[in-house]
Parts: sequence; C-alpha cells; structure tokens
Amino acid sequence: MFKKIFAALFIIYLCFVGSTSIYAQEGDSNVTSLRTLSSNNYTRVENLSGTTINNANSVIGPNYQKMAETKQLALYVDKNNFSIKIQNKSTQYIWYSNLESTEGERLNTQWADFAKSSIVVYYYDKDFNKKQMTLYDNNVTMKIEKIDNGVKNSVSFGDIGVSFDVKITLYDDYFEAEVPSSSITDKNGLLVSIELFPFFGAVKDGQINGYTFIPDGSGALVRFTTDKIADEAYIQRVYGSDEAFIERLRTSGQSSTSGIGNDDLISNIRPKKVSMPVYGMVHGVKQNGYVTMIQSGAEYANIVFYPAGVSTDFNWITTEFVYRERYFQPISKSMDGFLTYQSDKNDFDARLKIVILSKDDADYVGMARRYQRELLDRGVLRDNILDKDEVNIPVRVEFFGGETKKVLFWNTVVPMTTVDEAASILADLRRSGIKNLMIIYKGITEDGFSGTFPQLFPLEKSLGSDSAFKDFFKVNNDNNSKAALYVDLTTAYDRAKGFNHRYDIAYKINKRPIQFSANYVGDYFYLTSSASLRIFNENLKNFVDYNISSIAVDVTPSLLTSTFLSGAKITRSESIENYESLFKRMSESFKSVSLYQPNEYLFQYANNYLDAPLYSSQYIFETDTVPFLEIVLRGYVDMYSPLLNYSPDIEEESLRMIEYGVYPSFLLTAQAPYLLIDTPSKNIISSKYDDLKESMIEQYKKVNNALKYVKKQRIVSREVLSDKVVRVGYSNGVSIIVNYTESPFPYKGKVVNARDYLVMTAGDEK
Amino acid sequence: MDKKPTVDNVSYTMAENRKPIILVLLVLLAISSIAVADTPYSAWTINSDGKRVLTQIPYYPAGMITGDFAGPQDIFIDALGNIYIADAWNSRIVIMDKNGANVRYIGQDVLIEPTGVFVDEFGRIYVADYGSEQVYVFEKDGNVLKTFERPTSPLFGRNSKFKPQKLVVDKRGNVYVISEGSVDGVIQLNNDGEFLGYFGVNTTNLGILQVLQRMFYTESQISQLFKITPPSPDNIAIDRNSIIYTYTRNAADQNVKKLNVAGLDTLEKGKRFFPNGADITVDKNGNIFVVDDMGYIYEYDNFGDLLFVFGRKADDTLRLGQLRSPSGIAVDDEGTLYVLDKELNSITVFKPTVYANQVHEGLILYNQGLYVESQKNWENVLRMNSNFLLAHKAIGKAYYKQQEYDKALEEFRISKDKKEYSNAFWEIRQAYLMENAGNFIILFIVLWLIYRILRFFDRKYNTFHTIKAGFKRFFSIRLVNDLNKVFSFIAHPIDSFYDLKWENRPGPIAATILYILLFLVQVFKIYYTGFIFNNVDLANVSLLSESLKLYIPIILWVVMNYLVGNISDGEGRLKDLYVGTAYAFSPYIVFTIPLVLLSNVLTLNEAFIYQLGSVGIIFWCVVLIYTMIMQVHDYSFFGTLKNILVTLFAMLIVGLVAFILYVVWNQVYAFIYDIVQEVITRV
Repeated sequence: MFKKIFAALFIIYLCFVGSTSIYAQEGDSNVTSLRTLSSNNYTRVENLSGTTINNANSVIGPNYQKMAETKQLALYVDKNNFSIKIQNKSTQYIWYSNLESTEGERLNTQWADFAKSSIVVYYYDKDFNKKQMTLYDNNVTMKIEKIDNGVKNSVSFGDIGVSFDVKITLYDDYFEAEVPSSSITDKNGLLVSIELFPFFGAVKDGQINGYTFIPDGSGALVRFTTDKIADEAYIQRVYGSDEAFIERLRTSGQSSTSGIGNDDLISNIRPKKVSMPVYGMVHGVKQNGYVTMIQSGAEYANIVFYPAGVSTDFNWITTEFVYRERYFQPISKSMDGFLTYQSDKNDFDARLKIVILSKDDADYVGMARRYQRELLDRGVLRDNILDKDEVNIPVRVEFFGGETKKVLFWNTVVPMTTVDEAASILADLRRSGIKNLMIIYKGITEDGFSGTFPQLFPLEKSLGSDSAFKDFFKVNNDNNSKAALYVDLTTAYDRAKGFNHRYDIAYKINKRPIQFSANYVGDYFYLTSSASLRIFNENLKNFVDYNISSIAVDVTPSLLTSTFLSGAKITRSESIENYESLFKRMSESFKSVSLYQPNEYLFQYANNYLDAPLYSSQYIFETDTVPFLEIVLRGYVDMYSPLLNYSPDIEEESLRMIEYGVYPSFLLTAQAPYLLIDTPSKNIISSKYDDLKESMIEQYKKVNNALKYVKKQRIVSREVLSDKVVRVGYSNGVSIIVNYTESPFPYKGKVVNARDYLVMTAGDEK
Repeated sequence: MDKKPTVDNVSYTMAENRKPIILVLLVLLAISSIAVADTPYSAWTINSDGKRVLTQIPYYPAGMITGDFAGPQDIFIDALGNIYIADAWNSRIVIMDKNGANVRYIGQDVLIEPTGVFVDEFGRIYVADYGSEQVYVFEKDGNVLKTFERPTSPLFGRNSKFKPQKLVVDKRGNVYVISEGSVDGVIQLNNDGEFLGYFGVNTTNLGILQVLQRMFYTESQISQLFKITPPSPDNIAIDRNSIIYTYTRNAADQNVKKLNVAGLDTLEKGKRFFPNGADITVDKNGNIFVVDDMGYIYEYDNFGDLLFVFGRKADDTLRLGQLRSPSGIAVDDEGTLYVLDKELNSITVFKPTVYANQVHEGLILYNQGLYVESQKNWENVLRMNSNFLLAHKAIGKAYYKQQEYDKALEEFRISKDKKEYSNAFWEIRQAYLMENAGNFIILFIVLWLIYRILRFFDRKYNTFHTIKAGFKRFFSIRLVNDLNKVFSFIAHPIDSFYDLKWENRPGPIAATILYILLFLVQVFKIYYTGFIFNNVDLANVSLLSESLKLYIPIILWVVMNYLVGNISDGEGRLKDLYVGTAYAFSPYIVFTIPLVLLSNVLTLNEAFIYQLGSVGIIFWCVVLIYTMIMQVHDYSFFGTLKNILVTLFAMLIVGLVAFILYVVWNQVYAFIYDIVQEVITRV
C-alpha cells in the first residue's frame, strides 16, 4: 500500500519537475515513467511497515487433518491429494506445499497440475524429452499413513512404473522431507528426477512483501514484484555441473574472431556456481520465512527457481533431485552421435530440512545464521582462524613465479618473481607497515605455472636454488606470515609428468576422457578424486623437505566430477568422500590450509577461504546482492577477496570488503606483466609490485582501519539504513557503517562521509 | 531444461507491455560513478600486432531502462541528455530524460514504422519513417513541421527507391538519409527536402572471375551478368564537426567509414573492423562506438584504432549488462553509453570505469600532440593494463619528445611500432656515431698501421711462414677445399659448374654440409634480423616446420629435376643435381649473415640497402640455378627454361597427389575409428 502511495506521490512530483523541462507541455497526459532497473549489486532498504500478508492459501481448509505437532509447528495433510500445510504457532502463519485452486490464474493445464501437486516426477519419453508427471495424472496411487511425528506417503506413478516413499517428519522449528533411496522402485528405468513441494510458499507477482533468497555468488535476493523482467529461470546444479556428462562440441572459428575463450580472469563471465545447498523465502520481512537446506543428495540436486513472469505469474523455488542425466554419445570423429541417458540410477537418499523462521529471524540474515548453526551442529564449520596478529588484519599476497614461453624452438621460463625478489617485496611491504601477510607463491614448479600440474616438484631453478626456496618458506612462517605453495590437485596437463595418463584421469559417461585444451600448453584433463588423493600423499615428503607448511589449493575444492572408467567408477558422492579424506589429511599435515572457493563439504578444512565472492551473477531478475556466504563463514574462517588487480574501481571494492568483512588480495610480480604477452598467462595484465604498491598500501590501510576492530568476530546483524548505506553489526558489539553514496550520511550524531565508513563501538550506538 | 510449453505466456506478456506503466522510481540512474567489479563479460582489444589481449573492464553496466517499447530501432541522445527512441512497432517516438523518467510520446498519429531518429541543436526532431517512406521533421512540442518525400530531382535516379531508415542532420541543416538498398550511398537533402546528391558511396570488390569477365565479354554479355552493386550503407552517425560516419554490414574493411566533405573515407585501410553490427555513434571527442549482432561493443579512437571491445550476448539466463539483439547505441556527453535492444525492449546503460576515463583523457592530449602531458594518463593506464600497446607507444612518443631515446626505443619495441622504433634508433645511432667518430678514425688508422707493419715484417723476414703453410695445408684438405668453392661458384658460376660435371668436384659430403649450413643460416636470419626488418613472430616458429619448409621443396626439386632431365635428354646425374643445387645457394649462405648483421644497425631510412641486398641474393641464386641446369644437363638457354618449368609443374603435381593421399588416409582413419567407437558404445 505504502509503495503505491509513494508511487503516486512520485508521479505528481514528476509532473512538477517536468514543468521545468524544455519538453513539458501543459496538459500533457502522456507523462509517465518507464521502469528503470538500477544495479542489483546492493541491498535495498527494507520496507517493514504496513505489510499485511493476505494469502488465500493461508487458511487451513476442512479437508486437512492434523498429523503431527511440536511446540512450534503443526502439520496438516489433505489425504485426497497430499497437500500439506504447516502452521507456525508463534506467528499463526500457515505455510502451504502447493496451490489449492488454480481458478482464475493464467496457467495452462500442465502448469495448473504442477502448481497443485506436492510431488512432481520427471521422466524421459522415447525421444529423450523430459516430461513431467504430477499427482493429478492417471494411474497415480497414494498410500498416506501416519508415522512417528509425521506422515508417510507411498506414491506410485503407474504409467511410468515409478514408486517411492515420501516421509515428512516434524521437529522443533523445522521439518524434514525425505525420499529414501531404498524405497524407490523404477521398473522401466525412466525416472529422471523428483521435486518435492515445488510450490512451497509460492507467491504470485508482488502480492506480498518479501523475497526469495538464492545462493548465487555471495547471495542474492529476488524481491516479489510485478515487474516480470525475467525471461528465464535460474536452474543451478549444487556444487557445479558434473563434467562427466557434458560434451562440448568443439566449434571451429569460435576463438578466431570474437571468442571468449578463457578470458574469465578479469571478469567472471561465467555465472557463479552454487557452493552452499541452501535457499529460502521470506513472506513479510521480519515476519515469516523459511530456509531450506539440502541435507542429503545435495550433489545430485538442482536448485530450481522460477521468478514471476517466467512461464507463470508465481515466484517458486524448489530442489530437483536428479536420478538420471541425459548425455551425448558421440560415435564418430566428426562428433556425430545420439542423445541418451544414464542407465544406472544415481543412488542417494534425498532429504530436505526446511526451517520455519519467524519474526526477527525472518530475513536473509536469519537464514544465514540458522544455516551457520546447522553447519556448526554437523561439524562442517568450526573455528579455523589461525591469524594470531592482535592488531592488524592480514592481506593476501600472491606471487607469480614464472611462466613457460616458447622462444624460437624450445620452451624457456619467463622469470616474473624470483625467490629473492619475492623476499625483497615482502621486506618492502613490512617496512611500509603491512606486517600481517598471507603469502601464496604460485608458478614455481619446474617449467613455470602452466602445463606443469599435477607435478609440483622440483622447483624451477631460474627462480631460485632449492636452498633459497627452503629458506623462503622457513623464514616466512611465523605468527604474522605464512607462505603457502599454490597447488592444483585436479588439473593434469597432457605434457606434464607425475600421473598415469590412462588411469588417473576422469572419464565421461560416454567413455571419453574429460579433456580441455588450452592455448600454448595443449590439452589437459581432470584427475579423479582418488588420483588427487594419491598424488597429494606422494608429495607429502617433498613438502616437508622444502619446509612448506602452508598450502593453497585451487580448482580441487570447488570441482566435483564423477568418473566412468570401467572398473574404476567413482560417483559424485564417492568423490566427496575422497576429497574429505584428502583435505582431512591435508589439514593434519599442514599448519595452514587455504582453499579457493571450497564447496560446503570442505568448509571445515579451510583456514582461509580465498576468492570469497563479493557479488552475485547479476541475473536480471535479481534485485539485491547480500553477503550471505560472509555472514555464514565470518568468525570461523578468514575470507579473502578475489584478486584486486583488475578491479575497475578499487575504492568501491574496498568499501565492499569492509562491508562484507573480507580481507584484500593482490597478485604481485617483480617484472612487468607485458613479458607474459605470448605465454599462457597473457591474461595477467596488471601485477608489477612497483605499479601497485601505492594503491595496495592505501587500500590495505583503509580496510584495516575498519576490519581490525572486528577480527574473528561473527556478523550478527545487517541493516540497510538508506539507499547504499549499510550498517553491519558484529558479535563484539562493534558495528561498521559503510556509505557508498556520493553524499555524507548522518548517523546517531556522527557523520559517515561520502564513499567512506564509520566504525562504532557498542557504547557509541547508544 | 525445457519446462512445459506455455500457451498463454506470450500473449499475456505482450498485453502487459501495452499497459501504461506507472512504477516506483526509487533509485535513479543518475547516482554517482559507482563501479562494480564483476561484470558478466570480459573486455579485450587487438594490439597493433594483430593479437587479442585482455584489458581492464572499460564500461560497467549501471542499469537498465525497460519500457513498453516494441522492436525499438534507433536511439538518440541530445545535448541535455534526453533520450529519444524510434519505437518502430508502436509507430511513435519515445522521449525521456536520462533517468528514464518524464516520458513523452510524439508522432503517434503520423508515423507508421519509424526506424531512425535525430534531434538538431534547436530541438527539432527528425524521424526516418520506413513505413511511410517519408522523413518527418517535428517541432519540440511534437507538431509536424515538414515532411520530405521521395526527391523528384532527375539526379536522384528514376528507379531509385526512397525507403528512409536512419538519418542525421549537419550544422547547416542538411539531412543525410540512409535508404534501404541505396547502392549510390547516403542521400543528402537540404533543409527543404531538396535532393543535393549522393554521398559516401561504397566500392565494389570484384573477384578475379568478374575482372576476367569484364575484360573479355562483349558489352551485351556484360549487361546480362548479375549486376554487381556496392553494398548500401546501413547506419550513420555525425560528430560535432559535422563529419559523417557510416556503417555498412558485411563490407570487409570498409564497414566503418569516416567521411570527409568529399565523401571519401579518411580512416586508414587494413584495420581490423570486424563488427557485423547494428549501429554506430561518435562521442564528443571523436571516439567511435559500434555495437554488433554478437552483443559486443567496440570503441575506436578517432583514427579508427581499436581501443576496446566489451559486452556479450546472453547465452542463457540474462544477466545485467548482457544483450540479446542490440539495435542502437548512443553516447552522452559524460561518456555514458546507452544500448538499445530490440528483443529485450530495453536500454542498457554502461558507464565508463576509471580505466576508460584514463584512456580517454590520455587520447585527448595525445591527439593534440601533447605527448608529454599525456604521459601521466598513459602511465596510469599501464599500471592497470601493462599489455595495452597504444599506451606504450604514447609513452614512447613522450620520451622521444623529451629526447630520452633509449627509453623511447624500449617502449616502441614493446608496442611493436617499427616506424617509431626506427626514428628513435636513428637518433641513438646518430648520437653514437657523433660521439665516436674520432675513435673510429683512430681505430681504422691503427689497424691499417698494424697491417702495414706485419706485412713489412713478413716480406722481410717471412715471419708468418708457418702460419701460411698451415693455412695452405688446411685448405688442401679435400672437404675444406670443396667448401671453399662456394666463393668460386659465386664469382665464376659457369666454370665451377663445368668442373662439377666433369671433375666431380666438389663432392656430395660438402654439399650435405652446405644444406645444413643453409638451414642454420635460415635460423640465424629468423632470430637475429633487426627488429625493424623482422616480421617473424618468434612464438610461432617451430624447428620442425622450418626445416620441412626448407628441405621438402629442395628434395622435390632435385628428384623431379633428375627425372624430368632423364626423359628430356638431360645429361645430369642425381649427384650432380644434388651438389649443384647446394652450391647454387652459395650467395644465400655467404651473404645472408652480413646482411642480417647489417639489418641491426639500419633504420627505415636506409631500408633500401637491406631490400636491395635481399633481392640481390635471391636473384644471384636464381641465376646460379639456371646456370647449373644449363651446365649439368647441357641444355640450350631455352631448353633450360623449359626444363625448369616442367620441373616446377611436376613438383606441383607431386604436392597435389600427396595432399589427396593425406585426405584419403584421414577418411580411412576416421572410418575405422567410427566403426570401433560404434562397436564399443553399442555392444
């Protein structure tokens, strides 16, 4: 209501402003305004007042029967069609699993069935088209029975020969929905995927004030609006797609004129992957909400989100548990072939935990904190912060050692940063006041950075002698600085040594190796999770020999594939187990483990989270970007920003780091990067220490002066005070107000300067 | 993933669009210069050496204005920042302020399908209406001031159509109209709609076939051929100085043109203009922007040098800053870009980053010749992107102006600019020569004196007797003697080849050594030729391919010539040809190294010396080969010529056969591979 009034006022205002415009015409009835979508990189001011939630579904009809109850929740089921209602007793709000009636809605039959069905199954027809089946299709039978504190539905889809149990169990403030693997029968091998309650809490247009939260990048909100700007849905595989099912047809000419290639170094042109299996919805900010955590089967789950305007007028989000993947089977060199799908079904228990949030917890901060508690309970998150410096925040310094370059007839190494140069840069940084350093040295394997993995040792002679390296890693290993070796335990270059070219690499389901090709250095593969584990173990002694007690792992922590080499198959779930034992071993053998964008299952092994996302993918339907990931991890793991070398506006980036509680990162070389022009690392365009020093120190000081007050502290609150002015509260009572705007912002008797921040202690706030 | 078909989806979104939209405008676009790091596209440029390199993001997506447009075709921004949209399918012009607010419509009653819009300095709105085949001029308030119909002047052409698509107006009020299929160029009208002439016609590119046809066909035959007409320009822009820019699709290197008063292109030819684009615009500093069908936005400086390319077409779910089907581009005085998308029915707003601003500021100074003043900007640019060769060149020029030639030389070397490098090198060389001229003279005199003294002693006391004897003995070794013959081959080819045939001297071992030397000389040339004269990219050189390039033709030549000689009364033996060919390369082997060394101290001013040397070497080699064939086979002059031509033809045939065999083998291999694959996967 408030919005509408505001809009009306605004229009009137526009009319007045319009009269000063040269185009203004008296009595011009056409004056109106278009929709403008400003950047979705910030969080909007919450509108808390006057929200009334009025939803026809929020009433428990007479068909419903109470099946379970706890102190906070009550579960009602309509046995005719397995519709479910959950009552939040503290707010009296009713959550619904599906629409009850679709009359008057603009939905075709298929969508209407979909919206009304609490269980949806997908199968492949004979042309490998994906088809849906709902509870309203023919030959569907259900057997609904009460179980201990919940309900069980044995549902059978006769036409496709699929049947399984859906169990719903109620706990304190949450309920679990489960499809046990053992209960699934799939006579014809047609089952593709299952969605439970796809319309759980679905909201039409902008009917109520609230939003959907999706784990895109740092986290994104999609507010319920009538804008309908989106034209496509958000469908993302948790932990990224499985490369074992992807066949990229090599199209010639793609790279010739305007190909994108591997240019994503400076800009994340690829949408961000989902590393946390969590999403949620808010109905009325600070009123009601839920957060869904995929507890089991996450590696086989898609997060499917349809904003209003895409196919229907409803905003809905769900988990799709995938049992069979479609893939392309080539049979000729020219890549002729046919589409088919996985014959053996993925074997996993599908389980969702849906926590009902109320009042103050009913927003994205509440979701993040609830998810954080969940991770702590499961032991996936623990206090891993090593930083012992009592005063200053750390900065991540990544040195780029050397790169391979073809000169005339042979390859040489372009030395960019020798070990001596690295040492003198560090000395210079310390002299300049940056004492707390998190150091990563990359590209020091023999022959340089590219084309050498998975081999890690020996180290490149042109960068320094063995003893020089040993010294470097020994000296730079105290409370204030830990020098880590950069490793990638997954990429294996065809031309490199140190792995078995047949048995260590991962194969796709169509029996072809997972293979890519890179400029200058030829083809590369992915190692299987077990090969990564073995190669790591083989190298343990070398790490000790070189005094390397810190490690930074790229690619491996964020990548999850299966392999289908006959006799040595590894599923996605088994890969997770392998990686868990690999990183467990790693955290036992190293003082400090830094991981690049690890997936949820590796959070507990990371002392440092590197390249923490500060943005979302900026999908057009996203309205806000929020630091969900940062709220979850802050205080347990130190987070470092992506490399700031390529940031178009470093001041803005510093403010964002201050707001998100993330430490800065820089890539440094002693030599100017144009030397890398004809090498695989030509994408490094700005890294010379002499060039960057000044702005690096300036930005560090800026960020340090804010974040040093909240080291190791958790984020407990976040509030948008005004457009682009944000207050973040920490567990020690300190709060930081960040002002991104061009004008000063007065706050509690103080002023936050334009494009600046203000640190307030608990005392100041009163 | 394909979800269910949505029957009524399309219809209702259309309906939705038609409704007048009144919405919240909480956050206006005008807000500040806030930049973001993560853009859903990358940015790159093409350096002067033709290589694509990444750059910093020059523009970030600042927002999007979505409207109730339908297939909008053109966008224009006036000096006050107001936005004008040719809203084609809605048959109207939409006007709004730069925040997308204060929207007005004009021409709803008269326009049918407006595809081009332009506003002059008095606020009059010119519209190209493709639908009604007319140009409308509106007053500020939307009243029709004038309409221009198809010109009646006979000069316009009796059959020429008038289908206006785009237009611009210059300071004098002349209107330049792009008309569909107007092969004669841009239609120029005066302010009353009278036809003034055609402007900036494109040229046709005739293929070899067409040229031959034109040469040999009779006039009536030519008239029956399919008419080859130059491509008609597709879009047009005008800058502050009333310079017209045209854009033509699929027109190879003339797709972007900057036309002078005479209608001639003033941009340098041969630049890489690859966009197949939709629209062109020019900012107040003369920088040219083009948006293409792939969603890439290109920015060129006013010489037509590519500065950066950024943007991307959305391949799945749309992200802010990506495009679907761009149809127009405009830039305001603050450098903000507005890109119109006819599929999204929206305007995406891009704002320049710190990086782009530095480049722009640098360019303004640089283009005025204020190299030294621009140095600071370029240094900042390089700090952000050390691979941007234009910046290296600009800094080089600044150093050059400050007479710091060594530093300038290094910058020019990095920027791979041979001309500037040569200039800097000339200065350095000059200074060196001036400084050391005296020393050189003294050195020369000393050496000469030493020589005289040594000779004196040698004559008188025979001091160097033993050394001389040693030399003599060394040169009497058969192999050494043979190798030494290269000099006599150069000087006395006829005698030497005669000896080769009748005395079997030199022998094949020496020839083999010469072949190896030939390769080493070739490598030396590739690697050590001076920067100014070296056109080889060392990164692309491989030992194997270089040796194959050299030896395969030689082997083919020797063998084929022997066979050809055999069937045409040639007397030459295989050995003679093998050895003879090796020695025919004598000039190359002997003179290339000095020439390469010389190339390191020459500048472009003396390039003719190097070129003369290179040509002379090749010419002398050809003469030797000719002589060799004549002598070895004992042919007449014309007999030799015939033999050589037949040999070359035979080499070509062998090459073709080898190629066919290669193709066939590949097919066989692929066939077997496919069978095996099919068996593996199906069984």
